[in-house]
Amino acid sequence: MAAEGDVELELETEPNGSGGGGDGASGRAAEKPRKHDSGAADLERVTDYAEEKEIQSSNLETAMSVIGDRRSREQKAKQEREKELAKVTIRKEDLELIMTEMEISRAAAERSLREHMGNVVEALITLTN
Amino acid sequence: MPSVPLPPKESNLFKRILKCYEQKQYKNGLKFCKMILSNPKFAEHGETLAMKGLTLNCLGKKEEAYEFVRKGLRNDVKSHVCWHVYGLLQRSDKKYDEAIKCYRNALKLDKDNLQILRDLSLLQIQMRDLEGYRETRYQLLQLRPTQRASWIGYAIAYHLLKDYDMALKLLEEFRKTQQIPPNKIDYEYSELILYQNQVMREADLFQESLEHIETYEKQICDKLIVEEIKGEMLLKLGRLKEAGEVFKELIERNAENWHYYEGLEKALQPSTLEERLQIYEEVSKRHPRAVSPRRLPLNFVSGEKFRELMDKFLRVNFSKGCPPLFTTLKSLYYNPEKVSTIQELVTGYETSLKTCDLFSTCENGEKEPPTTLLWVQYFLAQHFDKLGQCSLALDYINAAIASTPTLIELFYLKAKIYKHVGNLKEAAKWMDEAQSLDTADRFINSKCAKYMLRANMVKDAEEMCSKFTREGTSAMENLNEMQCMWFQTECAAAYQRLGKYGDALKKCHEVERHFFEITDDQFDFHTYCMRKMTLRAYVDLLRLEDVLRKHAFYFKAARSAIEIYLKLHDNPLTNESKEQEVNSENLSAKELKKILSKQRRAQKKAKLEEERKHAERERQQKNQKKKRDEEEEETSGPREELVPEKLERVENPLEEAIKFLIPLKNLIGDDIETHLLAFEIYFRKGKFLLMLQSVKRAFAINSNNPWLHECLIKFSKAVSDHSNLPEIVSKVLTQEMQKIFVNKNLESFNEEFLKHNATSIQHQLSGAKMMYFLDKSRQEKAIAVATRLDKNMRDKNVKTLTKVFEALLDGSFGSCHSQCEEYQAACHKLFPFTSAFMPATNEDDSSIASVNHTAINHDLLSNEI
Repeated sequence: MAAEGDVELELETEPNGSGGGGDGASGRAAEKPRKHDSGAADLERVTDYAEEKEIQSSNLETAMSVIGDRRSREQKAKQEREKELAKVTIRKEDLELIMTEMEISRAAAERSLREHMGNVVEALITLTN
Repeated sequence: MPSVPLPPKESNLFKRILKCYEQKQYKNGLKFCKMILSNPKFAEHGETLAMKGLTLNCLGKKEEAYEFVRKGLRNDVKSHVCWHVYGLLQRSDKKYDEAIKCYRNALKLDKDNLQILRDLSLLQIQMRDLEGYRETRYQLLQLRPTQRASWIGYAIAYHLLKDYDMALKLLEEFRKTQQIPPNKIDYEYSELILYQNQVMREADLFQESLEHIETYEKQICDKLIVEEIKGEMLLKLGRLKEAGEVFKELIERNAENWHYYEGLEKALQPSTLEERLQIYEEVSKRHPRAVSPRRLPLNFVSGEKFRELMDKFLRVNFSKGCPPLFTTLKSLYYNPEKVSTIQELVTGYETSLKTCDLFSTCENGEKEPPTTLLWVQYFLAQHFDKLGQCSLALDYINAAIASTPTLIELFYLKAKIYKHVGNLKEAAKWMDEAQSLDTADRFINSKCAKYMLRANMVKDAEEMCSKFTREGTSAMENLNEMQCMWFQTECAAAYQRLGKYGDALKKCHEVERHFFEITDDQFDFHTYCMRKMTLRAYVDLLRLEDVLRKHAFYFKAARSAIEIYLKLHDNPLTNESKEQEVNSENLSAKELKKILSKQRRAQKKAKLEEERKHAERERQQKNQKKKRDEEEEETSGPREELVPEKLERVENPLEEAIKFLIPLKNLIGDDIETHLLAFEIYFRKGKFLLMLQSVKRAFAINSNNPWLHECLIKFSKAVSDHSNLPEIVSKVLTQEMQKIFVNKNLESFNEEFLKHNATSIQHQLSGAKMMYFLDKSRQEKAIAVATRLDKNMRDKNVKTLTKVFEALLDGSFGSCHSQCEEYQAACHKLFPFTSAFMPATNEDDSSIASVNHTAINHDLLSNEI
């Protein structure tokens, strides 16, 4: 399986645009020797493969637990907000009117409508601000 | 699991394929692929086929790549490797949404695959899905808590989400694991410390930041920034005495950095003008050659003291011969008192130097060399040019040229004066003269090209640039390759003025593509910067990319494109359409026939020329393609070629305009032009609430803007003309428009506007246009209002008067031939050098070409034939 051994797959890209020297003389002509373009070599090395550096530490557990606490609080807050908004009833016609008149996505239109407790006129007034 | 597990020999080969791909040894990789696939048992092995495709993609063989990868995926749809590879392929073609889908599929099949998670995180940060990025980095941290990048990546995610607490906690934990001995300087550790400090400062934790920087001072490589941070933090904490010491040291280091002087003033808090001046004088004593301590006081002193200091400053610089002297003083010209002091002093020098080679006639001393007079005259030319007194400016510059005919700066300035006065052909001519004096100077060469473009001399400009662009390709192409956007935006504007909309649009799209590429180029740096720990630079890069299209080049290109698309919507080109509409009513049949056949001949010639150019282009492209195929390079995703004829006949110009508009709305919302352009688009689309949004936003920026006034009237009229809007829309409109129009009818709204802005020609013009728009019978009055040239009009300058003249020509006031001529003559008296007002009827005069420019809301083109 490819995943074993933590093999990294990195895609090579050529440096775009003006990787070469200052003026236009350093070209892509295969025969001419390329002068004054040390920058191009550096740009190429950006995508070279390199092993990730490791850290030695024994205190990772405390750090990780701190993170864990925080995350669960974040998740909870987010879920509560979503629940509040989901409770609001909105009408399909209102949603479609907003989408057509303001040329925004369904998601954005829906959010706006919910945040204004389903009142389409209020939602539109805010959207036109 | 893959459908057919490979036996050990093939499995090893497969591992080597992956290694080859990483090490960019593509030919070897393909060899190994062949070895596996040539074995009939594994000829259809999905993963190998996919890898073959991926490798081919890196060699530029895009179509084959897709074939193989898709085949591999079909053969082995449950392999996460295949999905991963497909995602990589999509990503290389910049189809980022598709790529994310593929990665997610791959993750469904192998939840904890590090590589896929990493690639997914890269895409998420590229697309700025910060929440998603944070989630993915959390997973990576859990899987590999010992890797540096996991911690850094996670911390950066929190930083970008502005959750500074978490970010700092993570960074501190990470820093503790870096066991660098305190007397050793390690660049990566130094950058980490500075990044950590930056996060603290952004979180407004000034005390912590100061303590932090003092603790780790010795291990930071960038000593300058350490001092700057200390100074800033001491100021913020109110420890002014210590802050003062720091800034004094910084000034010792570099006496020309204006921020340091600001900091020093904040620290010392001088209560009187004398104390304030004292600060600068002390520095000046220690650094007699420094310019800043002598320039900065000129900003805040006035009256006699100003005269005294200015006199000193000017004399030193004139004697020395400092060309940018005017530029350094230009910022003082908002203050009329200071302007007149400067004028007195310098004109005094001029008279005195001419008679006795001294700055002042009532002094003795060493005589000044003749060059001093030269620089004084050069300064005076710039001075009077700034004040709009063009003929005086020209007098001075001509006097200077007479004495020193080989100095490039003089011709450069002369060209500039002609540009300001509105004679672009003369300007280009003198700029050409300037560049001919030093053809190895690329700056003056570029300036000359720009002036030619302003004069609509596109071919000449291209030739001028070709002196410095690469041999073998056309200058236009090379400039595009080098992303030379100043040229492309000017070129687009020139084509626009000439009415060559297809060519102009091509340039606008080219500029847009550059911005796309620049955004795209950041991709590789997500991994690279984290590895090299150059985190401050990395975050700066991300923030720059976020607001990239705020740049003036994008704005210019977008504005040109939108204006053109609006015109194309109003007057779409058909296949037989001509560039100049013939006013056939006034001509006899014979004359009409002659003109039409002339146009047909011109068209044929143009077509032949196009075909020749096209053939030439194709030949060049074939040569280039051959060269490219021979080299092992990856070509970026297939980009459709921009063909001018197709661009100007696009099906839906308003939609194209909106594509350019959206980044302006998002990033340049503080410029009223964005919203006014938006209004023009939505007006033609009939989207009333979006029109409302545009005028509301514009109104909030500047309720008295002339263009906005025109939009408001058109808007209001359109609303009252449309009685069948949906109820909700009407409700919103009525409620919101109340705040702007306050129950006035349109006529009185317009009258009030005119009264309120009685001394501004620009506003009178807009009000007059609307007067005619609302009631065509008031044409005479409207024209009279627009053409007022009384003494008390504040903005009687070339630009404004040209605008009025253009409006008279383009039909905004209906047909008014005699009034046009009268106005032109009157303007000519005021500005004899401006081409637009000159009575001669030259073919390539700017007056005809300029009709195409700026005026968006006209309905007919009336050409004087």
